[in-house]
Amino acid sequence: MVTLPEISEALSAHPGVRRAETAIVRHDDRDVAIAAVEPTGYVSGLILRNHVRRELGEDSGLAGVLIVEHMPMTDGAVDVEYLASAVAEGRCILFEDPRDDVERRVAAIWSAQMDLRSVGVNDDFLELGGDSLSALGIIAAIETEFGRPLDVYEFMSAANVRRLAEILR
Amino acid sequence: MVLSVRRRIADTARAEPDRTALVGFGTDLGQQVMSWREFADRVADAADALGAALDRRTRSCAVVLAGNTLPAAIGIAAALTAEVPVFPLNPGTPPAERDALLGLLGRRFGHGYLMDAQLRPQRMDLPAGPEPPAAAEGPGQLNTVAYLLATGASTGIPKISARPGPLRYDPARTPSVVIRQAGWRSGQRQLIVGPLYHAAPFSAFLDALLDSNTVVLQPFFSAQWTVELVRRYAIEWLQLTPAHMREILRLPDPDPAGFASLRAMLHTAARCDADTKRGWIDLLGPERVFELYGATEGIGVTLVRGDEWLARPGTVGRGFLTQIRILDDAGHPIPPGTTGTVFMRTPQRIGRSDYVNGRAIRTTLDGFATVGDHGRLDRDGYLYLEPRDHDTINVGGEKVDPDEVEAALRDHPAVIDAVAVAVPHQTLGSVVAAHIVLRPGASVRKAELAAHCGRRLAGYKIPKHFTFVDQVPRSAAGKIQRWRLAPYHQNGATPP
Repeated sequence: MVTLPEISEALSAHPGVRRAETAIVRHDDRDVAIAAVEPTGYVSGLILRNHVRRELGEDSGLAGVLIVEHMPMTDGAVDVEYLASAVAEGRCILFEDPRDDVERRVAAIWSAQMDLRSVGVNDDFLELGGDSLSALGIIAAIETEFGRPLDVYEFMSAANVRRLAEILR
Repeated sequence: MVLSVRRRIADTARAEPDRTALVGFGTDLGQQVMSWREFADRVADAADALGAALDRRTRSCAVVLAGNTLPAAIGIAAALTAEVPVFPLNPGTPPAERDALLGLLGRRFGHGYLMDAQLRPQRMDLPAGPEPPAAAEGPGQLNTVAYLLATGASTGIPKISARPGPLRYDPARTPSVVIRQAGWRSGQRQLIVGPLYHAAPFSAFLDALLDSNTVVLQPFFSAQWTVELVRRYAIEWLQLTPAHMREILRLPDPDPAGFASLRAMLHTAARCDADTKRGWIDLLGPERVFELYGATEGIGVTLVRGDEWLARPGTVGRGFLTQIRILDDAGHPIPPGTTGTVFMRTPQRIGRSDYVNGRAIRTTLDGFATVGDHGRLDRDGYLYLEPRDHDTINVGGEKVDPDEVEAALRDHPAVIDAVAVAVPHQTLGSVVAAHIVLRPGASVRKAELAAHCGRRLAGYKIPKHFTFVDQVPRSAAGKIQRWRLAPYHQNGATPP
C-alpha cells in the first residue's frame, strides 16, 4: 500500500514541482487521495498524476492532482476543506475508469495513440499532453473503429473520452 | 522523419534542382528567378560564413534586413540553417525605434550579426541589458531560439517574442495542420505580399522553405501588381491582410478569372470589415476564403471558411486544435453569448513568460493564455471578437500605441500636450490623428510636426491629421479622455 507521504515525495521529485502535499478528501461518498502541487512553471495535473502512477504503480491510489498558486495550509497541514471544495467545483480532474464498452474502446485508442498506460474518462486531451499529431492519430483510429467520420472540431470540443463516447454512441 | 533545415533544403534541391525556389524583383524591378539548386548553394554558403564569424563565447543572433528581396530570403534561410536565432528587422525602422529593438535583443544576446545584401555577416554590438546575457555553454546551447519577431499585439509598444528552436522539418507537422486545412498544398506556388519582418508572412515563408514551395516575393504592395503577379505566376496560395483586400477590391472591375489558379486566400492580422469579406467571397467563392485569428505568441488559433462566415457573419471561427474559454475579470468562466476576456489553450503551449523584454502574457494555472482580446462564444463554439478595451490604433494591420505617438509629439519644443486618436480611413481602416496644445506664444507648422514625428516613429505611426486645441480633455486622475475627441473626426476631416 502506497502512503500519502510517498505520493508527495514522488511528486516533489518531478522537475515541474516546487512543493506537493497529499491528503484524503471525501467526495461523492468515497475517500479519494488528492495532491496539491505548487508548480515551478506550467505543468498539468494529469501529467503529474500519470507521473505518480508510473513511479508508484497504477494502484497508487492517487485520484487527482490540483495545481495551486500557493499551497493552501491550515494549522500546519494542507487544507483538506479547500481540496474538497476544489474537487466539488470540478477544478481537479479525477481518474475514472470506463463504465461501458464504447468508453473502453475510445480510451484504448487514446492510450495507444498517446502512448499512455491508462486514460481516465474525464481526462482532458490537452492536459494529458496531446498534440496535433496524436489528435490526428486518434481521429483516424476512431473513424476506422466506429466507421463514421469525425472532424477535428468535434474531437476538440469533446476533449475527453466520456464526451467523445457520447458523440459516437 | 524529422530533418534539420540544412538537410531539408538540400533534399528538395536534389529532388527538383531546376524547379524555381524564389522569384524576386531588384531595385529596378527586374525579375530575378532562382532555382532550388542555386538557392540551396547560396544558403549553404551564407550559413557557413555566419557559422565561421560567430563568437562562441557569448549568445549571438542574426539580424536580417527583411524586405521582400532574394538576399533577405536567403539570409533568413541561412541563419535557420546555421541554427543561429534570426531576427527579421524592418529595413525602414527609424533609428530610435531600431535602437529600442536592438536593446531588447541585447537583454538576451551579446552579439548580433547583421546579414548584409552580399550575405556577409557583420558583427554588431548590442546595447547591454540590465543583466549580462548568459555565456553560450557550447554550440548546442546557441540554438534554444529559432527566431525572434517584433510584435505589438497588446499595446503597440515594440516588444519581441521568441520562438523555441531550432526549427525542424517534420512531414507530419510542417506546415501546421491549421495551415493545411486552409488550402495549403506541398510544393505549391505562393505569393508573399506582406513583409517578411511581420509574423504571418514570415511564418508562411518558413513553411514554404520547408515544404518545397515556389515563392514569389512582392517587394512592396500595390493592388494592381498583386493581381498581376497572381495571374502571371498562376499563384495557388496567398495570404493577405484586410488592408490589402480592401485595396484590391477598389481596383476597377477585379476579374474573378484572374484568380482562377488560386486554391486559397488566407487573411490574418486585423479585423476584416463585413463589406470587404463579402467582396472577396463574391470574387473567389466562399470555399477559397479563409480567415485565421491567432496571436503571434502561439497561444491558439481559430479558423473560419467563407461558407461558415456567411452562416455566422462576423465570426472569426472555431478554435483549431485550440480550446477557448471566456473568463470574467475575476477569472471565472462565463456562459455562451456573454462577453469577456478570450483565453485559449493549445498543444503548442508557450512558457508563462515568453518575451525577451519580460512582458508576460496572462495565463491561468491550467495553461489558458490571453493577449487581452475581448469576445464571446456562441453555442456552437464560434468566437466573435469585440473591439479592444485599450486604445491601440490599427493602421492597416499595424498596431500603433497612442502613448508612443504622444510622447514623440510632446518632445517637440513648441508642444506642451498632445493626444493621438484613430480616425477612419477608406483603405487602411484607420490612421493616426493628433490634437496638439502649443506653448503660449509658440507656433509650428503641421508639416514640421509630421517631420518631427518622422525622425522618431515608423511611417505608419506618424499622424496624418493635426488639430490645434486650447486644452486636451483629461479625467480628474489625469488620464486622457480620448473618447471626447472622437466626434471631431467622424468623417476623417479636420474640424474647422
